[in-house]
Amino acid sequence: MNADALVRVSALILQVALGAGLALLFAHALAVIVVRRHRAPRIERGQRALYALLQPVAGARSPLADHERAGLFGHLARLSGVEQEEVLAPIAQSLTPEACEPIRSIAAEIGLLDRAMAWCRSPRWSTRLRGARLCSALCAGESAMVHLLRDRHPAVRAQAADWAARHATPDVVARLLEMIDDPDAFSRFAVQDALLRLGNDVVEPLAVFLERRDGPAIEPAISVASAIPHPRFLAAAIRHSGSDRPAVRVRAMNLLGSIGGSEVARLLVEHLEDGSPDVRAAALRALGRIGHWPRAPEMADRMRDTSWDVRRAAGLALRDLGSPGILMLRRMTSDVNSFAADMATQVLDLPPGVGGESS
Amino acid sequence: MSAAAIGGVAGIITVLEIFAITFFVALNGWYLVLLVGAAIEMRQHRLLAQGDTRMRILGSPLAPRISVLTAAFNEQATIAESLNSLFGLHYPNVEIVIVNDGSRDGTLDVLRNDFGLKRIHTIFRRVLATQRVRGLYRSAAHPDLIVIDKENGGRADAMNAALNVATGDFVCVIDADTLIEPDGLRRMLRPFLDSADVLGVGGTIRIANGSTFRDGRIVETRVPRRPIAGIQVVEYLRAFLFGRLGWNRAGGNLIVSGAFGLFRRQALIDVGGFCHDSIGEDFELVMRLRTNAYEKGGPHRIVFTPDPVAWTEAPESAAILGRQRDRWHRGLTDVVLRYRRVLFNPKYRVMGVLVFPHYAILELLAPVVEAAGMLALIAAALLGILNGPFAVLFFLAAWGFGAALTLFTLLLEQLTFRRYERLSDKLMLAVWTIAEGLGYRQMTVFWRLRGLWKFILGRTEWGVMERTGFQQQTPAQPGVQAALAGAATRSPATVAAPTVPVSRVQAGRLAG
Repeated sequence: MNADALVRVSALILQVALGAGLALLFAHALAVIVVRRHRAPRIERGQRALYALLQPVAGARSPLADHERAGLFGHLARLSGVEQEEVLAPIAQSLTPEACEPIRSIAAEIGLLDRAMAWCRSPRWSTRLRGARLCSALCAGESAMVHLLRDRHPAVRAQAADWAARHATPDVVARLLEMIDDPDAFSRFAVQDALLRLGNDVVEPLAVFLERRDGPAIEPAISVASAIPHPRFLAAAIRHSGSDRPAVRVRAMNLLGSIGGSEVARLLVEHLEDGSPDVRAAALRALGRIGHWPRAPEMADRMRDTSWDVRRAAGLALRDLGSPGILMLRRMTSDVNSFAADMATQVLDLPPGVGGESS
Repeated sequence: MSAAAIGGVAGIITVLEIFAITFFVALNGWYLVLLVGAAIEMRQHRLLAQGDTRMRILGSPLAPRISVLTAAFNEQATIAESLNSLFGLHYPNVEIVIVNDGSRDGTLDVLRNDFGLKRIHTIFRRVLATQRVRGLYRSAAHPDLIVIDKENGGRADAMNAALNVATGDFVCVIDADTLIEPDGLRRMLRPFLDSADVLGVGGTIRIANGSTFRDGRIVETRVPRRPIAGIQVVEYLRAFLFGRLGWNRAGGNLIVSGAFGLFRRQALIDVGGFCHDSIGEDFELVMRLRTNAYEKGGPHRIVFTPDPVAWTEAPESAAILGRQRDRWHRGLTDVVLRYRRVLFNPKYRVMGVLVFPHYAILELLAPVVEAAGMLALIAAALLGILNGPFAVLFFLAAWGFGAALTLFTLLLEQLTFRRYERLSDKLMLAVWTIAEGLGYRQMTVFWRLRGLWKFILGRTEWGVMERTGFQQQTPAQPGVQAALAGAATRSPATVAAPTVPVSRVQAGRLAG
């Protein structure tokens, strides 16, 4: 084929592609307009039916007559699956599991819940994800969702973890703790967030987990515990403050700092001599947070530390102690150790009340 | 002219034509591959991102700290508006570090008065060398706002000063005149949680011209009716929605726009922060991050994610756009020469053998080849040896292919984000798509060639950027055009004499 013919063929193909592109673009725009115009009133009618069904439950009106109820359910049942999702899910996901019960009943009655459960068992991960999202919104589908916590796709596991945050059963919490070092970052993050949102329900199992386990799962578990400050974690914090891994000791210091108390202050002061500057700095931050002023002299000693991070943490922790710490810092400004004096000078220049520097 | 001479010239013209056709087929063939990659990537993205549970999770108290860094040089007119939009970000753990880079107008006074700045002496380590910092301030009204007042040193220097002070695990680099959508940061963070191998994430930049804003947020998305701004809308859509998205599947991106990018802070510090003497500093930074990662190990992927959107104003005059494009091409040339060791070097894996060669050969040489093709065409016409039908068909093929690619990108946009809802806007997008190849593209070829020429001459100026501000809508008078506070004019400066205007229309290049 010569160059002329090649260009002719190419030009023809490209013009066809261009025409197809234009046609598709406008066909799609038209389709969107038609579908929206068709769907908008259906969804609106569905929403009105849902509100009418919910009004007696909320005590806003007297119970509905059977024929009224049947009519309203008929409206909802005639909607497509996507439309039903669009009507029910946005309201359901903003409610507590208890308050969601009437919507769950309606979803069950119109067959949406069964469909969601079936989606959760699909071989396609995207369909399972869709089912998991709907079950999460409706706070339903426990039998399917517990299995999805072990799903092979991380996005599905993450969605199941989100569901689990509103289902504090022992099995669910145990499974979440097993997943705390999930190999997928997003799933791991979702699990930690779910544990955090479970709050007090997770304290006892998490404390037991921390007391018995070692290994990579410990670091995220301590981080979660630090965000739910509870004295029940003290034994675990003490245990892990002796870990041979500095990263674990740093987190143990944070955990101790979130618990507070004289015993904790004593333990933290012991770690001011730790071989790792990160641990020393974390211990100082924790001492500053619990505001244990009798330990100010030990903290002031760390202003002479060889590590800049430790000196900075010591200065800011002293500042957090209030008057006793400020007094120590003023003395340190004339210290023979010029690094300590310099850091004290800088810390004292901080304006009070803005905070954040020590975090 | 003798028959032999004409024969010789005709031979040269034929060689040029064959070269131009080969180049055209290679470049556009590769663009087709990128388009397919973008479509697959978009589908995957939509499956994972739809529904708001995933977004809500990122609002958790466990969310990592993000420092938003921005540099301001003579931004008195727009700085308050831009900052107000940042305060509206839906992210639980954010600090905003703004650098007043030696502004000669009242930028610092506006910040002082509007945000109740109080001088502080926070303690930070100066790991990156910068011009002298004159003072640090914290807002009494917004404790997460820190202002660094420093002597002028250019955008790179300002960003390095901000990096020294920032405390976040991640830093979001934006321009002072960029408006980020409220959930932009949460969406930007998602790729970091999806993979531990991610070093930086770029978001979509869209053109604000023609759209209406209120309180730093977009209220109505429209397509500009003026050709230069309108064509840039389709150009940006194509660059971001198929170019950069496609590269996610084909070895990762090399460009994160300086107007909106999220990076691991420690990674930026480890490579020495922003480079002072590069005109393509955003491209240079990503190249340095990735080459460093390949050489020393660690995360090396630069990901583009399509849904976090930032809005920026595009130039509406050919002169300003020309200066911008010639600067971008000088930046590209500078970075390609700096990192020539990467070219076809398997040590840098797919970046060395595919991604970088694309920029070094196809993108860098595209204006040269296009110009050579056009000159050959003119020469052939003058010599009477032009094959008319061939030339017309080739032009139609080149123009048609470009337009088809853009139309498919618009289709991708319509199937996913649908930001332009009115039928009239869709029509305008189609009009600008078709118009792009009829003059605009030829102008960009000229500007890029000018950039190459200036680079050869060693000229490093940035040029002047004039802005009119975002079109505002007030609650009392919807639709009223109220320019933010008149036109802000960027002063010319050079990289060498570090007085670079720090906020620009758009920091990254569009191509690829």
